[in-house]
Amino acid sequence: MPLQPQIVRLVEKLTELTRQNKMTWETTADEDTFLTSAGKFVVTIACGRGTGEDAGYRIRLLNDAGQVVEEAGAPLSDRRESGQLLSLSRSVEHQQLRSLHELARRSALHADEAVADLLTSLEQIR
Amino acid sequence: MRLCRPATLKRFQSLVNLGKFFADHWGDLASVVGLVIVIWASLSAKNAAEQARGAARQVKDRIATLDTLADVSAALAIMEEIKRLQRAGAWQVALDRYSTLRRHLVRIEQINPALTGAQRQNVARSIVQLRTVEAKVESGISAGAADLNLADVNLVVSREIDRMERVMIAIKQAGS
Repeated sequence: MPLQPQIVRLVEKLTELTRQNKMTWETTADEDTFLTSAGKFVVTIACGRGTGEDAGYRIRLLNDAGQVVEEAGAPLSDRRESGQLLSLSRSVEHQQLRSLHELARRSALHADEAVADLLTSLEQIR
Repeated sequence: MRLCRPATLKRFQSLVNLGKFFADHWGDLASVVGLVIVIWASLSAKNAAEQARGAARQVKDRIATLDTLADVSAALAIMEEIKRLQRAGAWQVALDRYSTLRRHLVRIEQINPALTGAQRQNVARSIVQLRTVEAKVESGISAGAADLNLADVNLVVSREIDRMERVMIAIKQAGS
């Protein structure tokens, strides 16, 4: 099912704020799920690598009691979903969720700081 | 005989006029004084009522804070217990404790009106984090517990213990 326009806007906004380091993500017990919060809501972005119903990228909006208020997903691959070729809009949605997932992962694991730190250490080696 | 000075005469005349004014209008003046007293008394009563309301609100907030602290303490104790159970491999028992834990966390978030936005966000994050752990344990149990990585799972629970400790300290500091 294609993403609702509001979810697309939410994904775009989260991507923009994460790129600007205004939104911080954290790791969870599931290594492919990352979590952030804003206002009264918590957002998780997950990537299910299997073939079951959790396969693909999933964004979930949860309320302060931990209940899922809204949920949307995109396939793991940008080419096929359930054996069918993806439409252009579905492919774009896949790209958007994949990009957000990657940014969330980098934010949660402090990847940029790690690389900068490592570079500093390497530069000190003579 | 010494004649009065004009200034003294004028002052005497004013006093006479004032006395005459009081004599003619004592009823009106009494009404004005009465009105002032009534206004003053009602303002004092309103003040007292507001003070009583404020005190009642303070007591209510204090009780809510104590309830919240009790829930945070209970949540911390359950999280420690969950860690122990998971370490002992008692995954099924640990799983049962997650729902009790979630109830306490939801109460913390909903009962205390004095929680700041950041504290609320922390509690909400904890609820979702522990839900993720619960789901992981649940799916691990159905797969025969072979998939469960104790270190990973307990690491998240420990992180949530730290987070809730910070929330508790902040609540205590705000209440003191």
